[in-house]
Amino acid sequence: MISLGSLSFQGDHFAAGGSHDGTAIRVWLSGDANINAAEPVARLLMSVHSEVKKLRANTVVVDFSKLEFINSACLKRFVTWISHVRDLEVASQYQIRLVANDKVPWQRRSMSALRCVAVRLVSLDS
Amino acid sequence: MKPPSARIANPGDDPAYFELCFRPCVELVSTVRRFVSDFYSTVLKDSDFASRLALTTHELLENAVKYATSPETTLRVEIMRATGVATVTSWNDTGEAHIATITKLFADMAETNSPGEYYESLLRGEREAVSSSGLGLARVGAEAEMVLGYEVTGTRVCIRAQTRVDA
Repeated sequence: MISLGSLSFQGDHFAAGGSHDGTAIRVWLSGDANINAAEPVARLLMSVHSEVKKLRANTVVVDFSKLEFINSACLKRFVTWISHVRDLEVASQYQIRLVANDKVPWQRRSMSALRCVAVRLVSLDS
Repeated sequence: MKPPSARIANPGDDPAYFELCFRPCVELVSTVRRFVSDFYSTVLKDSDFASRLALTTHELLENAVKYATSPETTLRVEIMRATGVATVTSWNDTGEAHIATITKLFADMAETNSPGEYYESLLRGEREAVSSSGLGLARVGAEAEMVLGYEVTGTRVCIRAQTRVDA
């Protein structure tokens, strides 16, 4: 695993980080993704997409399991990102795996909602 | 402006409710969401239901942070065991433009057969959100399984989210 500095963010109540292992980029989120986190999340996902292209990764794993909550503004940033990947040419698309903690009810519900944006590209892990 | 106030009924009573009157900010929205989650997890011993109430609380209060035109917002979360109904209600003053947006948003939601269908159509980009608060309210309807309603009295907007509860 090689840490990716471009995916690192530390705010007062929200943090994110990322790494890659050759074929996959792994991103984790923690804390409270409230309205203040919306822009950092948007920048993070733009950086994720840039890293996918640069590293020629075929999968992005996003780990939500340490996230206390995500609001609809942050969720919308994920929708925008997934929609963008869905709308790429097939050769440029990549798989997205969302990791949720099954014991956290909102995670199961919100991850299922995100999956409906691009069922063929998005899978859920727990 | 009145000072912040709070009322909490004994959790063993019917109804089990609390009401807060305060000026919401981003940090307080999260604080209240955590309180709702903890309070109703304890009262109802149902973490899934408490999570739905907490999500609803967060989205309604964030809308108040964004669109309220006066400092005072009131939030009430109420469980009526006798009728098996849970209600999350917010009241705040807002401007004419936002009242028009809310009216349009509820009309838009009513066009589909179910909250889930409406939410998924927004997520897939098949339908344009009426405003930035549109996805949040749609999420409340679909993910938190709440029936949403609204009332406007002058500049005062009331958003009500209700669901059944096995208490």
